[in-house]
Amino acid sequence: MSDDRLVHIVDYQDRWPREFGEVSANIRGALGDLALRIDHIGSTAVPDLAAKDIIDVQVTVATFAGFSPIAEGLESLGYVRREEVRHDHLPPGATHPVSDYEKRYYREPEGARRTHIHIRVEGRLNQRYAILFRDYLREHRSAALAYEETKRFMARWHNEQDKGALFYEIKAPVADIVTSAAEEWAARIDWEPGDSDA
Amino acid sequence: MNDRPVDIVRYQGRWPDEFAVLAGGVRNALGALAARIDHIGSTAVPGLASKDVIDIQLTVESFDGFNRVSSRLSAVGYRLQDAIRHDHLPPGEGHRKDDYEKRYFREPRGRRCVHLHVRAEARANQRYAVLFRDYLRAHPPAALAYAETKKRLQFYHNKQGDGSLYFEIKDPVCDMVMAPAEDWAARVAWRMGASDA
Repeated sequence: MSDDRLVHIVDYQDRWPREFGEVSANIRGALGDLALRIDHIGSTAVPDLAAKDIIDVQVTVATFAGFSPIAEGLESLGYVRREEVRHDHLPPGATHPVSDYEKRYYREPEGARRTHIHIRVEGRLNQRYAILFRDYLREHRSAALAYEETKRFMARWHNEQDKGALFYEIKAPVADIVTSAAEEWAARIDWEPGDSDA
Repeated sequence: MNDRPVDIVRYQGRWPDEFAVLAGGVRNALGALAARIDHIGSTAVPGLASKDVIDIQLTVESFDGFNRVSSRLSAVGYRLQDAIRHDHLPPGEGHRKDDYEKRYFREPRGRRCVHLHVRAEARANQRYAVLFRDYLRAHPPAALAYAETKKRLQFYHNKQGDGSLYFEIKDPVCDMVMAPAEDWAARVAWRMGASDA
């Protein structure tokens, strides 16, 4: 029945923040001070926004040097490293060094609820971006709604015609449309990330 | 291959000049029946990749006297596409279909591709087109991301057999641009500048 190639956008679920709460508490337990922050990011972190039923977690670390204790901590919880994922996508016209998009990436233990763990370094562009993107959508309802609508259309075409990269390839620059506005907002209000979620 | 392929090309310096010639023709045909004639759409945003289609917005006071407008445009060759009477409505509450009414003409047969959108003064869709353009002109990162989105839509659209992918997904993408454009408009007390022709 379930086909991994399909993209299912579902209505907002009240259980998402609770599910994040459990996942993040476990990660905090395993990593302790190695995690500078643990944040609920992605669309499931925006109240009332439809999204893929995936809990996105950002673990902020001080550096990727000396990564083994972090890897061991996450692997002790059963998370599975996706070694091939080393970077986020670069927006068109990106002028920042590739290191600003570097990450490490883990998936949920076999059979567990779908969870994406993004590990990024404090202060780098992609680490800040994930939190800003969420905060912007939380504060800008019409932008969030239009983003949701766009994702629904993309998912429909993806599922009916493609089942490959369509959703993901189009979503990248679509998210950059949100980001361009979010960055302007951030500059205007002197936005800074609030407290860590866990 | 799609039988309605989309072809996004680099920004062309000739687009404003082409608009000016076309708009002059529309102004001559309509005189004071045209409250405004504006260059809208992506070809009106310097530097933006776009389909090679000149979008013109003709603003009329109302649709009540549309017959006169229509007959004068027909006289200079523009072809009314009478099936199209509305723009798409943005998602969310509070949008009235009336506010998205339009009439739509295509270029005279055999001429360069033109989409002539006739909208009524002070309706939401009439303001939308001009604000959208002004926002992208003033926000290069948004314009760049929008252009990249269109290029990727084009790629997948053209792969489909008979799809309308590009057009369907582009509507909510435009709404994504419009959401911050509205915030910007409120913040800078944006108003429409002078008519382009």
